[in-house]
Amino acid sequence: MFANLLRYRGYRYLWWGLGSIALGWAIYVSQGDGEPPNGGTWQGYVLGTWAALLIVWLTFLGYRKRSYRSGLGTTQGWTSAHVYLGLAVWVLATLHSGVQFGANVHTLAYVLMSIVILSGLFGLHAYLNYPSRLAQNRGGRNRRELFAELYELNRRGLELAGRCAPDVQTAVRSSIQLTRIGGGVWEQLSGRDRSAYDSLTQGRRPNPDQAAVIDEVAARITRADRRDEVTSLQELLAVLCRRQTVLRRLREDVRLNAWLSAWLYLHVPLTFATLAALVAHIVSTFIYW
Amino acid sequence: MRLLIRESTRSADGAVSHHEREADVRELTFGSAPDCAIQLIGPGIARRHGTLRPDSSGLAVECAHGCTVTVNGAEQRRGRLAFGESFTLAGHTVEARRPPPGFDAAVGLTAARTIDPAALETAYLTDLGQTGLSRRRAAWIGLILVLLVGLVLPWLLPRELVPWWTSDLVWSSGPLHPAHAVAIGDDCSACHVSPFQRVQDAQCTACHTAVADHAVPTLAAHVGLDTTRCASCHKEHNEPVHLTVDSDALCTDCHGAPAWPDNRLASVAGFSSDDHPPFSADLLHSEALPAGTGFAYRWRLASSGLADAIDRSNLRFPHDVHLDPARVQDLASGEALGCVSCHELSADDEHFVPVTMERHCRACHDLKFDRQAPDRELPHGNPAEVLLTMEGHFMRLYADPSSGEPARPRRRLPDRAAGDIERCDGPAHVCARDRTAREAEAQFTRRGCVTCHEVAVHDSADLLGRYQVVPVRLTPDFFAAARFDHRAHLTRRDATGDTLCLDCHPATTSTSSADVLMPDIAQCVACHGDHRQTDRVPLHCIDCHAFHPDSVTRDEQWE
Repeated sequence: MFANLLRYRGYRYLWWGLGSIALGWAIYVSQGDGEPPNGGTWQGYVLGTWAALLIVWLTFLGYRKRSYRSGLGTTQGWTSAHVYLGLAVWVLATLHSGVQFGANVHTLAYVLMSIVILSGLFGLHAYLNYPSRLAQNRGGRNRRELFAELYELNRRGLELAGRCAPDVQTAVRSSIQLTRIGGGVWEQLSGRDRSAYDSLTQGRRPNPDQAAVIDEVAARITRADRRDEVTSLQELLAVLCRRQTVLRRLREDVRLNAWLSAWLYLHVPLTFATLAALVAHIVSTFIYW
Repeated sequence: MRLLIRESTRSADGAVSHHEREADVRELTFGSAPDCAIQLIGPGIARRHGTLRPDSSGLAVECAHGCTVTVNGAEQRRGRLAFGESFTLAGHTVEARRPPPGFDAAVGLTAARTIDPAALETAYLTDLGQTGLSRRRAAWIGLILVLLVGLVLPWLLPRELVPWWTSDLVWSSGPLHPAHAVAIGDDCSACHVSPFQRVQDAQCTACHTAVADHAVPTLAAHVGLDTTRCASCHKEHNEPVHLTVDSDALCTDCHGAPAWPDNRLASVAGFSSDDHPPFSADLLHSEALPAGTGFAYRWRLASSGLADAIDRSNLRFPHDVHLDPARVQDLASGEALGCVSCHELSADDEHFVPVTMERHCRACHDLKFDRQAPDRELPHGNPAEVLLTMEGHFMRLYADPSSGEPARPRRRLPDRAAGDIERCDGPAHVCARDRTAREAEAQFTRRGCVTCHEVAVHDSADLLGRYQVVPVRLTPDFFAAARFDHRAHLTRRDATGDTLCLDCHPATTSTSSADVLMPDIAQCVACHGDHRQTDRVPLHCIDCHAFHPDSVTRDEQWE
């Protein structure tokens, strides 16, 4: 679907975008040498109006994507148009500006629009690349199944730890209790693991990737003085290692999903900020005509 | 808070086992998050679902906003559990137990019979939407903030109260021309007087008082210039600063096909021999009007094609003679005269310092009139003064024998020329008057004044009324409607000195001052062309022609 998004109907909207840029450029160069190219010539007004209408239309896509019953084209087609014409509007707005920038509301509109477009480009990159990485990471399962497996491993780990000495019980129980998956914005995006566990001898210790608790349990095997404890510890170690693997997949799943949606937290709000700046740009232009 | 948790687990065969554990917690929280004192996994359980507060008779339950527990069959957000009572949540049962000594609180926990293991996800924040980020809220904040700073605050708040980022300066689309910036600072209202109204001419003419219109009002109305605002052409706030329109369309839109009635201007579509009319010279013409015993002269400016142009300056001056090294040399240096001997470029680099008798001619052309008095010269510029000076001179000569000159009858010496001795036997004043009349006749008709001037001889008995020198006026600007930078054209790869001048002004072959030595368009287009000709130095219309003339073009037809 995502590759088709760009190739939709034989690159139909790529040609639309290129056509828009070519026409916009022709209008731009017709401004001649009478004054520097700017938004105040008739060509500038045409380019500006065109770009503004395109921005409003591109914003409408956000609404269109939620209206699946609409008979107006396919979502895939609209998204393809959104990508190509969104890039074209960048060129049209630049031509409209005459590449004159300053500390003013007009440049604010341009900058906001540029951030929206750049974030959209990242979103396109994410949509094209991340789904396959997600599928590969999940190994044919979905997130629910991974969490269900984690739940069972937690339960089994607690059960096995219950058969062991108190220090192992404390370490394993706390490591499960203090396991972190996801978390705040930065933790989700970076995949940073702030898990910890409580060691009876050393207090609370960081436990990224569950390595510390695994090391402690592994080291404990050699100090076990009963055969059944050794068996329990070995089983426990196997559970903790399986758990480590599942946690890695889950953490990567959360990270990729976070990036897959993070760009929208810039793209959508700044789209509305751009619309507001566009209103301010147009109204202020005519207040001080 | 020291907490005792008694966990009851029911095995598949129905047997119940109990497990007690202790915990030190700051608060007795329950929910799906791993750091809750009591972690409960299941559908509908929030990460921080609620809090239990122990007191002497049981536990007070308080759930987070939007969360409930079931107490005695009723869903409640807040409630009380006496010891032995319990609440249920997604199949889990939490019972308030009397804490044994050494504990602040004790709860019994019976896990749900079936737990959806996938519900473990609710224990973690795995979606950016759970982190407090909200696209909708951010969109509203961005929308309102931008509208406030970009539109509302600059409009509503007085300038003196606000920093620049909430003032109307954020509406400025670019810097002002430095001169305007110095004059009005950042006071937008100096030009933008009323909202939603274009800048009016009154704001421009308040300072620019001396700018003349392109055409008189009636003609301007014919071609729509009366409704053209100053700012239609003079655009501010551009980078680079560019206040003047230099596009040829500014001119050719109208002059390409002049459409006003009784037009006398040729059409101009560009700068080439085909697109631009031949040059016309603006020449001064004198018109003699009867006045007293002679004439008064009125000067008018008239345009004439270069091919037919005759300069009627009333001055007799052959350029070829003066530029011929064999015939004329500089008295002081003995070298040939050059163009710059008489033509000195003025400060505007276009025009020349006016040529005058005193500065440019008199060094060679003295005004001596009596060989016996080589120090005496006639005044220049006033014929009456000339006559009175001569008369006074000769009166003294004849009346005063001791003046050193032979006024009375004297012997003719063989080595003197015949003209050196004037004999006169009459009274001194008669002799002087006769001598003056003869000398005047010579000066005004044979040598002296008539060398350079046109002289009108009237049939008047009064000597003062007999000779009239036709006044001289040199045309100050042959192409008054055009600008030309002489200095810029004084640098050439293959020419220096007079050659630079003579290439355009063929003075060495000019025998008469009637010749108008101005180049026609062919001379210009050899090097220059409009922007369509890439092999020429490009010229815009306004490089030579000012849109705003020094004064409004007068044309009786449109007055």
